[in-house]
Amino acid sequence: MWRGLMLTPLLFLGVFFFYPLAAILSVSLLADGVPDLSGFLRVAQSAYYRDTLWFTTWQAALSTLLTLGLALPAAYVFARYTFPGRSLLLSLATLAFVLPTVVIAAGFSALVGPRGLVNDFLMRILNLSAPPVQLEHTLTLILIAHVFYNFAVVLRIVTAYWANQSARFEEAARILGCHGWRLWYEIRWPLVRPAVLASAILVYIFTFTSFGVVLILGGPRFATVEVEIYRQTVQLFNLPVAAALSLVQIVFMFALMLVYARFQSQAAGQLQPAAQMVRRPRTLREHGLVAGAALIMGTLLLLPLAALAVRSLLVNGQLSLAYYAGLGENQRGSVLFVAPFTAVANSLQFAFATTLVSLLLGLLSAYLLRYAPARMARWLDPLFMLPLAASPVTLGFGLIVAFNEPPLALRSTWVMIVIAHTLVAIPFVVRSVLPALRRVPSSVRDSAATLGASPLAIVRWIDLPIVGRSLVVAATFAFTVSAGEFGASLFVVRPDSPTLPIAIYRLLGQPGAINYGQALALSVILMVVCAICFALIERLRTGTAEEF
Amino acid sequence: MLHVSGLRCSYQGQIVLEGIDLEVTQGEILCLLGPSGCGKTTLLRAIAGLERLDAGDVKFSGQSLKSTPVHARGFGLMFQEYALFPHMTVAQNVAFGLRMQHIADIDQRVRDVLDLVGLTGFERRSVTLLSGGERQRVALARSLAPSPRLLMLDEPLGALDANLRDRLVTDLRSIIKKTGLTAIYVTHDHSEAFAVADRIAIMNEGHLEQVGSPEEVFRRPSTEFAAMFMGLTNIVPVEKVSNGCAVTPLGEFAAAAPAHSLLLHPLGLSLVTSPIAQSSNGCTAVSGVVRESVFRGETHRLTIEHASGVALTLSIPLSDAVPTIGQSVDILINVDAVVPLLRGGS
Repeated sequence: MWRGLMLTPLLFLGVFFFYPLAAILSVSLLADGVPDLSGFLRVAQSAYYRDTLWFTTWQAALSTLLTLGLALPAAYVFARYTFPGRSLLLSLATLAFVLPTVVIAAGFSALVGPRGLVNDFLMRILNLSAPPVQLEHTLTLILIAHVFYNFAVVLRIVTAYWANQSARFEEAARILGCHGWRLWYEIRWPLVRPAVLASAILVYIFTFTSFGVVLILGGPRFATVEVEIYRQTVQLFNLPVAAALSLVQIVFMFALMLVYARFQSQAAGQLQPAAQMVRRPRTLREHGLVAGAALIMGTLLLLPLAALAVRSLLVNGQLSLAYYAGLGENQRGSVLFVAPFTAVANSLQFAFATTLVSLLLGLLSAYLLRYAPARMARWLDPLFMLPLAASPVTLGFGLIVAFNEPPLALRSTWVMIVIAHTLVAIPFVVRSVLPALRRVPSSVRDSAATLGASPLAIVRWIDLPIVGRSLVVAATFAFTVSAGEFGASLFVVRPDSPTLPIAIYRLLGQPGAINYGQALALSVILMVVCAICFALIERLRTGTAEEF
Repeated sequence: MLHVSGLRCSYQGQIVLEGIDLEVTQGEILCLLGPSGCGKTTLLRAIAGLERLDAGDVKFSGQSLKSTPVHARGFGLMFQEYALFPHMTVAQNVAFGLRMQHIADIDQRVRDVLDLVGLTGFERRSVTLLSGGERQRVALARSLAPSPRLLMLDEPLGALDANLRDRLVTDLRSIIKKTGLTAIYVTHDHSEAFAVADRIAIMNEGHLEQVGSPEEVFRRPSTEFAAMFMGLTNIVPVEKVSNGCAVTPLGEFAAAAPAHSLLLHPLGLSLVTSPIAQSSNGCTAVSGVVRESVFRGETHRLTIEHASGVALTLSIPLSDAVPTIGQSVDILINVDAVVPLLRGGS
């Protein structure tokens, strides 16, 4: 019975992950059962798709460089100095990373969009009739949002690695006569390089698969491969091309993940036992460095979120809760077909269902990985991470392609949403629970067994108390992932029962002050939910808080 | 050569070093001996320029080092955890100081130093793949290579197991002596200090308790702490001193100087089973009952309790007859064995 239970996660992955992948493969390579490469040929021959791939590649490279440029100096400051507000800034950066893309898009729109605070303010004091700051639908805004999003990736990985490097290396070098810029060249850079490269590859992966930011902030002029898959499917209904693009995307992603895994193991392997070198800034220069880093981070990370909250409370220049109050009404001709608040209720239901299902499956997976023979666990482990490597858009696309017809015509049922969210959430659950489970020494379980505890009693009295916290963390992760999930949801959500991010996306795309205001109000609600979940995770998470 | 005067250091508002006066002469190995947390590592770091001084000065050849940054002092410091650069090979580690200080003929020098520490042929190995003993040698080679004006070693054998430590401690002394360097050696192990040092400075809670040759500090420790730290535990409280006589629960002993307590050094204690004349040629006899007898290999260690409740321990050779537990014995105390102790700590 135990064995059968342990295999359910594999079954789930097989049916809802690998089968859809196969479906994508067959759509892209077969037409009515006959090999047909026309989708591929169209992708390969068309300058448009080549441009899309090229744009995806270089915007990711540029975003990565910009993120490194801003976050590395901050990482240096964080690795060396402690100062009031340090952990708050670190949390802020991480919060920015975990917030749903729609919230971030709404935040930047509320700050610098045509209806945003900056333009509002400039139009009023300069008496202009059109918004002077034209950042919406520009590459600049996409890049800024990418830096905002990924700042924490570089900051956390590099800071953790750097702060854990023994301060003795540098002192030894100084005693041997090394000083000034040579310390950077000879000691600091070589020591921190693995962490910088690992974080850079991770940022590249995230920006390569950027979907929501490009779709919402970029407008029709810009498309990454992800966005193009969505447009081909939903707007043009060109499935062979969408499937071919998905394949290209999957191949790229797996290649990047492999590179990352290599660098990450390097970055982890060199970690020294923590010899903290963090101290308070002393000289004027050091105070300046700290203040500079805090100022840049505060501006970049706090402004869009603050603007979102403030703008959602401004109705015609007056402070008002009107946008929030209107969320309960179903307007005639609304894009949502239902009152906006229904989206909140929908999202909560889906999030609870996802939490339950992914917790169950994730827990079983973790047990399987922990107690399977080592040889089996070695190839099972990456298997459970695969849904992370395939982008949400690919997941959503695969699901609608695979479950379009009977006997499994799940396409337009709510079950599909829970399945999609669960796929995205399972890796987070496994990654939260597995390390805790590995910390339960086998000797403790063995001695419980010799004292007469049945396998179930061992789970109840030994495992649960030890991994309990991590279970709460895992549940919160699953909940947050589901509440903010956007890419896969766009494919599987029914028009009349939108989730919160989908509702925000639809409202943002509509003209009219009320639609815009309500989009912001819903974004604030989503932001608050995610922030609460995030605070809970940060509080409960033990051990390696710097891992990704 | 090196002259430390009135040194005070504090860390986060807490004083770590206070009133340190210390001199190290050319070609000498001075050992800083003390328990962990006594400030000996901080003193090394202060001399190296890695800690800021609250007060006092460090002079080298009569010149104050106050405004000389770490990298320009020309000192060598071997860290307790070695701090070998993980991104460099053995040879690159050893060559690092030579490169930084623009010393010519690097390759030859690296080979010579690696020969000296017994690591010939290790040049191209990665330091992350070395054993503990090999790392220690690389760290030593790296500190030696630029011929520092002063070599400082912070618990250089601390990370090694006891067997290896015994072997390497004599190696270390001979290598340092061969190169003719002036050295400060930090340890918490008194036998290691005896084996390596020309002079020992005993440290406790941020100050120096006693400075002297190994034999001097062992034979005549000046404070209770110094005695206890070297495992000398026969300490008897002094009740009062009058007319050059110290009154203790064991009786009166001649004491020239005021003392807080007396050390009855085990070197000058012997066991007599038959009562003999008291105070014959400067010896005092004290009687007591054997409470404990522990076999220690080459000796037996006896704990003998005096009627006042004061217990003394002494070791007798294996060849001697061992008294049984509960037997009354007399201990003969040589006049040289009575060492007046100060309370220490100030």
